[in-house]
Amino acid sequence: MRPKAAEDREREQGWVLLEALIATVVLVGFLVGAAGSMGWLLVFEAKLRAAEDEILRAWNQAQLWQAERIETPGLGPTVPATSFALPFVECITLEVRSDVNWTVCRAK
Amino acid sequence: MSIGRYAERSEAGSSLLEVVVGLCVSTLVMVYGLVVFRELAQVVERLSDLIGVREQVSLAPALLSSWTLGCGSGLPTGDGLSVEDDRVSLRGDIDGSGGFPDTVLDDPFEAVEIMAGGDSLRIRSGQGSWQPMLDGVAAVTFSRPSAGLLEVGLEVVGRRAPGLSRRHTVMYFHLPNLMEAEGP
Repeated sequence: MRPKAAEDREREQGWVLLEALIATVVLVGFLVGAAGSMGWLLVFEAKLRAAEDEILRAWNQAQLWQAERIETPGLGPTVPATSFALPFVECITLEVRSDVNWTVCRAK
Repeated sequence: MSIGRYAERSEAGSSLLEVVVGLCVSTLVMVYGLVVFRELAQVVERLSDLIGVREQVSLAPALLSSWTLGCGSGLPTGDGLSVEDDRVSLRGDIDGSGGFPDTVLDDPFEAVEIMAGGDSLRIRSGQGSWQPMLDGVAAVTFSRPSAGLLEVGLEVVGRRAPGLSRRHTVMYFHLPNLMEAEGP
């Protein structure tokens, strides 16, 4: 009888250990997941705040250039208006983002 | 028997202790979960505000340029734009009978006024009623650095977290008709 009781107790202790281990893993996973989600959102917010409004900046550059308030060399290369092929039109290419360019033209 | 009784008592006490400890841990986890949920909700609110503000700011050039492009068209030199600190009047003969300019500014949106009111940027055509144009605009300033340029300063704020999402931005509008009137 005694060896069997001891065996049962050991088995129960094993199960308790396993349950405690599972509970700990679940709890730690929850904590890490929550902290990770929060961290990701905070980083996203910081990026959103830090990012300048590229399109608005390019808009202002184009408007100022058309009104001749700024020097064109500071904005980028002045390119010929190949799409219009008119001698009295000049254009400028503004890099809004690394993958988006705006070409703005005006009469010479 | 006596050993078994002790064991039962001991196990009964352990179960009670486990329940109490379990309840405490569950309470702590629930409180932590609620705190995290509240923090996440606040972050999401701020993000929503920020995105809303950026949306309004991005819309502004497209909307305002509708009225600034025709400004001064078909009018005497120097006419077409009146700028005060918080209000601007734009006039241009851009429409008429048959769709052609008729030298009279009586068609819709040939004479518009724009100013901030309430929490929006508002516009009216002629002597009509004011209509909202952009939301979340706390203040607006207008100035004219040169004859052919209109400078608009916008103070845009979000609705949920105004202190955190306030944004001041400046944008320029080229006025080609008025620039020609300026001369060399």
